[in-house]
Amino acid sequence: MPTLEIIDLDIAVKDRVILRDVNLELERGKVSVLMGPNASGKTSLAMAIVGNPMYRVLKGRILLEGEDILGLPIHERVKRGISIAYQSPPEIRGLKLYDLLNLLAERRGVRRKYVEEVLHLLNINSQLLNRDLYVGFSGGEKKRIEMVQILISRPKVAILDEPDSGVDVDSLKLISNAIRTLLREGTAVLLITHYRLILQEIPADPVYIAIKGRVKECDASIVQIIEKCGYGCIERGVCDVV
Amino acid sequence: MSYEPNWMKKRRDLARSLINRLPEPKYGVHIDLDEFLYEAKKWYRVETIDDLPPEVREVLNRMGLFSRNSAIQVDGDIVYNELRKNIPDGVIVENIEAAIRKYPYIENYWFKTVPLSLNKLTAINAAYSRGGFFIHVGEKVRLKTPIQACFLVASSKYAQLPHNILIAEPHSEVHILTGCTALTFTAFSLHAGLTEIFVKEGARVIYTMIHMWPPGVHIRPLKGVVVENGGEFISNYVLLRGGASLQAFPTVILRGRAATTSTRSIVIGTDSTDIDLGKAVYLLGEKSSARLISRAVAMGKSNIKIRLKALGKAHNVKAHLECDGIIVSDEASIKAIPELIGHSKNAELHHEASIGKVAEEQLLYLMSRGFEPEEATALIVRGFLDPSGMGLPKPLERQVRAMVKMFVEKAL
Repeated sequence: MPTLEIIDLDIAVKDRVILRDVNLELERGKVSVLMGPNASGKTSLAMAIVGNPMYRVLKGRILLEGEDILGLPIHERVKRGISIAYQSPPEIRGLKLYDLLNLLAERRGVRRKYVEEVLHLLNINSQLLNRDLYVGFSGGEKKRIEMVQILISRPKVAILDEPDSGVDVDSLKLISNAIRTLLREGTAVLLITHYRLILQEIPADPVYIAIKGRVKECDASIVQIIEKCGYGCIERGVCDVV
Repeated sequence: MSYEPNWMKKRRDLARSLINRLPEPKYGVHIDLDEFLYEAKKWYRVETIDDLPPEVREVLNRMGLFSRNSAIQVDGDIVYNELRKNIPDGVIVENIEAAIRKYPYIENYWFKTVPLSLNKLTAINAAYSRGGFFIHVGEKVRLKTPIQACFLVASSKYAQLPHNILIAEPHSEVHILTGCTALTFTAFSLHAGLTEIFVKEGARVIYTMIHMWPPGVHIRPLKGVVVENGGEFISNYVLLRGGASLQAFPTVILRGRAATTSTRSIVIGTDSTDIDLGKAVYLLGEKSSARLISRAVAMGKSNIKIRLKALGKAHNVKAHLECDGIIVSDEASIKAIPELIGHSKNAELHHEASIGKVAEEQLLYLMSRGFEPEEATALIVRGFLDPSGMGLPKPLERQVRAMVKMFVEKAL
């Protein structure tokens, strides 16, 4: 049984349907990739899975280890084991990163030593820990700290929304290491990305493509095709892989 | 009434003759000032802080202000004062009645920053004031640790009217920490202390106030500050609980060249409290500058008004006013009332204000980390009210943070 199964899902924002008939499976200890042009609905799918109420599910089911979680609010889904690394997390003034991580660790029953290992893995120094959450952080720092939170949460399902965008090569390697750690711990990962570079670090299969309001499952070779001719050829139907 | 010099008696007589001819205070909900008692039972002095009545110790403990190295006034009487034992040469700390007898020059500072005839309340304070502290920091004396004083209302119907005077001589530095509160079951009482602060050339005064008032108390603190050349006045105000109603509109007069002031307020509105709080800065000295920042959170059925005013009347003055508010409950409200008045062609006066609910994006973010909506709201509100920008000593900053956490979580 897949860890997470999405069946015939339609997603809307306000009155506009973003995606229709989405079917997708995430397996324990494996990475599935979701790619697609800008505004194709990738983040909408991520938000619908975590239960952001601004993204309405019009029909379909989301099963976590066989249990339908659609009726659960966002914080309950997290407690059941779904975690997300945001593409652009918000600043929260006055909330120290150190305090947030401590609270998360406490809730998950995670030992201090493990938190220290995670911070070391993602090269987070004590100066960052004492700062207000994301206030004045660089893009790479934000992405790494999102990964820290994911690892501390020890989720069954991790949705990583473009963890590789806007980061330098060193940060990319650290983030890749973090994803490998997740996989070793048995987490099912949905990796949303635009770039092939991270896929050279992290083996992923299958690849899902969001395009024209649909999500299609492809084999990994689609990544090379997209890199060669862009999403345009898929949209125009030139490419028949999808 | 203890011995008072003639000048004082005359001013009290004058004030008494004015009370019924003067207008009510301009701001704040109306309270009938004739309903209060201006005399209360006598509280006797204790030798050690442990001899204070348990209910007094308990409430000071709750505020984190139970300190041996402090002075404590209950109703009209100073019951404990250990300040004198720990202050360096060149600093006077006395209760105001004793100081008036010892130091005739106090007459020159009495009602010099706030007009006695401003309104009925100032006249009442002038007529019936009892208690308060006189602090005089000598030239170039710099105190490393804050001087701590607490004012506690214990008797129902009593009007607590201390009169405090602080004089910081040229190039001196002092941090005053005051805590004001009342016993939990004090019903219908008034705290209307007057504090006059004189910051002389190049001196630096930090004045931190922590207020926590139970629902029966009306609070009308009065304050006037005068800052001379190159002087600096920093004010921090933390309101954890606003009693039945609270109104304050202290005035800072930047009289000297390059005089500066910065003030930060953290205001928590809970229950049905009515808070009308502000500050006025008069920039009269060339190159004087002011920065007033206020952050308010309205919960329950509280109403909060924040009035910030800057008047620039000299060349090259600058003022920045900032007021941010978060409304957590549909029954609560916040009104920001900034006022900028320029009387000089090169005065730079700015204000920013924002009022809204807790940012949805932040709320969802924390909920997606597994926090319940109430927990997420509390984390955001606590962050919004974080005291780290106040420049408080670290132990005090931790204490304020802990108190804000406790009050926000309790109110939510």
